Amino acid sequence: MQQTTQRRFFRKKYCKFCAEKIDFIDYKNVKLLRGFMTERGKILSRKMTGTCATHQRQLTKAIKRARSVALLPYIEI
Amino acid sequence: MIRAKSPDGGYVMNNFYENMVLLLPTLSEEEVQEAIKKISSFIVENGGEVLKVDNWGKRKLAYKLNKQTMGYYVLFLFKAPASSIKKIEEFYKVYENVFKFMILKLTKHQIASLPPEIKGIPVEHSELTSKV
Repeated sequence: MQQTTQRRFFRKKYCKFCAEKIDFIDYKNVKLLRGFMTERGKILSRKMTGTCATHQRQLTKAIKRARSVALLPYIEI
Repeated sequence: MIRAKSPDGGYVMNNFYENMVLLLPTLSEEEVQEAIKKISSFIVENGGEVLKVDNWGKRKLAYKLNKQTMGYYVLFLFKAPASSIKKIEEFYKVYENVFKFMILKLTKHQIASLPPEIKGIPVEHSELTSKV
């Protein structure tokens, strides 16, 4: 197989919450949380979004809380 | 942390709690207000203090939950001793207008970020109830 020598350029990912200095992610902020989920309702990984570990942990907790009171879906068909 | 004197003389820790309640969509606006009053009075009876009531109005649920597709979202913010939470949960299970609830204890961080007028003097909830 021929290997591609051309370099790919990525935009550097950064943690949105660190940049905006959000120290607590609220489960009631559905619009914000929706941005970290797939269309199907799965939680996006850190690799995809660039969120830092601390905030990813808070984010999953917030999403799961929002799901339990039906603010967000578990799955969307 | 806030310390309040309990009836039997000792001191009890009062924690801050946030409580999301889903009310049946079949209720009318007046019945919702009545239910909110009933819940707040129950919290007060159990040694709590209601700091804020936020009525989000009727909303569509993200998925079918307890045979409902719509529901009234009401958010309570209250200060109560830890022992009362179990009683409040029991009350919700029995109370027929509530089909889902969630009580969360606020962290130190969240308490610090609360507006000062909420932490100090309780405001009448009729003023704080937002119109959605």
